[in-house]
Amino acid sequence: MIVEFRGVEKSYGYVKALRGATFEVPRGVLAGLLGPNGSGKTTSLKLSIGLLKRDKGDIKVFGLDPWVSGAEVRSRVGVLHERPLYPLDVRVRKLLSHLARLRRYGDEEAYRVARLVGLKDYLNASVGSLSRGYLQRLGIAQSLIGEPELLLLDEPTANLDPSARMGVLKLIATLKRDLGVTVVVSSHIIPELQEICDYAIFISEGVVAAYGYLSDLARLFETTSIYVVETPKPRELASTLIREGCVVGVEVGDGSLKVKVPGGELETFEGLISSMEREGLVLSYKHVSSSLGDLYVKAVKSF
Amino acid sequence: MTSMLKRLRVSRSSLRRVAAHTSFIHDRLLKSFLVLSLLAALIHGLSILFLPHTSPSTPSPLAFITMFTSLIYVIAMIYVVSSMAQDLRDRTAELYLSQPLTRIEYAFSWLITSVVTPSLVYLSAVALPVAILDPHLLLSFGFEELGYLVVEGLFAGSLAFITAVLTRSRGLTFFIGLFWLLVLPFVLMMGVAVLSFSSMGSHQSPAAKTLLSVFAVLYPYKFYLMSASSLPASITPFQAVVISFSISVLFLAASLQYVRYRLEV
Repeated sequence: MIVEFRGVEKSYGYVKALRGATFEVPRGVLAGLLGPNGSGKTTSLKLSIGLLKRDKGDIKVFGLDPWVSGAEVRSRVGVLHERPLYPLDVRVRKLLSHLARLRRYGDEEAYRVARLVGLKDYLNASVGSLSRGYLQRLGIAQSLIGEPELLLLDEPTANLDPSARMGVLKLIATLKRDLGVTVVVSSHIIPELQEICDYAIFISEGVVAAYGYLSDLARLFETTSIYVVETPKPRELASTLIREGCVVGVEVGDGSLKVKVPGGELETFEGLISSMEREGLVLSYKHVSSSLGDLYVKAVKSF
Repeated sequence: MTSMLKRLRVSRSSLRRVAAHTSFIHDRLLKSFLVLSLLAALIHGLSILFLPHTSPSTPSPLAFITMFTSLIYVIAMIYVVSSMAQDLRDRTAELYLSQPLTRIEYAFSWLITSVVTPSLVYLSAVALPVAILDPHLLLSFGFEELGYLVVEGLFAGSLAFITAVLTRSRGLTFFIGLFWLLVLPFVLMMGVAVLSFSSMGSHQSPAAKTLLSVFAVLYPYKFYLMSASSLPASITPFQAVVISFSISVLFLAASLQYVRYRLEV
């Protein structure tokens, strides 16, 4: 596990931000830290890198206590804060170079991350002249300095217009796919992470209601899931599945099927598909996504 | 042996990070430092040219000029410290502290920029014009005076620093700094005058003596200059400067301890 929280409590005066939060994040996932505003997402992320001190409980990131070994933890973590504040009078190049230097990298690293997020034409612009979308890109760029093993992104799409929002989400998915980084994305807009997450942590009023792989959570809370099934005979398989009545939707593609399975039928579906795999009708199958919204509602209700 | 080598490596990279962040803050405040040094150097250069010189045993007229130009020095110090308070308040500090920069390294970088650099800039602004005109004047100017001046500046800097760290308020840091600089000395001296007057003009009033001693600790340089006019106090200028220096060190140590164990952003 890269991140482990065990019974973590954190208060700001009389306000309890986290109340015995327990969750873990395994290596290689793109995890959504999901919950409404004020549920404790930002506090969790800040505790993970030692910017805040926990009141109770145990936190381990890469096996280290982030409050005690903060520098060591942060040298392996890239962070984008929610509504970050940058020094506005500094040029983009200067700021990125400075942050790279703190991580023992040179100016070429600043250039690399700027190019990666499409900021290279703005290197000589002052930070204050950047639009919100480009400021968010700057935030992502600085979080990528030194190719961190873990990326913590706090509301990365906040205050962005829909197209910039899509661009940022696409960029996050690409980073996970191409660089193999473990990513934790916090958001209060639950459906927007639907397409990119394969792991979720549901948090509400400082309590973690549930966490785990989406496929496991879908099974646990019996919510509708989407599977992609590779098959040499897509049409034949589609009609079999519809006949068995364990799916609510089938999309036939070239050599594959996209299948929507209701929560109550997951076990039947997986049993059926496994037997077809043995017979050679199914080459492979993969859980793609589950309705995060449904999962969240059921997880919070069940808690 | 291995742990020693590891610790050495850690402290080397720690120094490198402090140096990098200090240089970044310096770059941002470069203009302020330039203005400060040019202004102080100009006033001192002109003062040397136009003021008569006295014997080394008494504070020179230049010392009184220094008393006024040191205002620029202390204001610069308070300005930089209040920038740190702003950095902490508006969450810009989050950006730097999310890097492998530790809380203590961050505070050290600001400490160097706010206390050490203005002191060095000011001292060189005072000494350079003198040295250029006549290096012998440096000896008659008196290093002792400069020592008192630096300790007084350090007191202001450490007071502003602990205020900034604890309150994270730029306004309050500025207010306390300026109150110490512009209001408190007059209030204290007024108090001394009133107490002396109320005891029939006698300079031996214990309350006046105590108040003067407080003044001496808070403003060792001003007290040093005034001691030439034989004001009565319970302590000597040397004792005052030692106590003042100790309090400054205590303030700074307390600030750094707070940053290390309690500072959250």
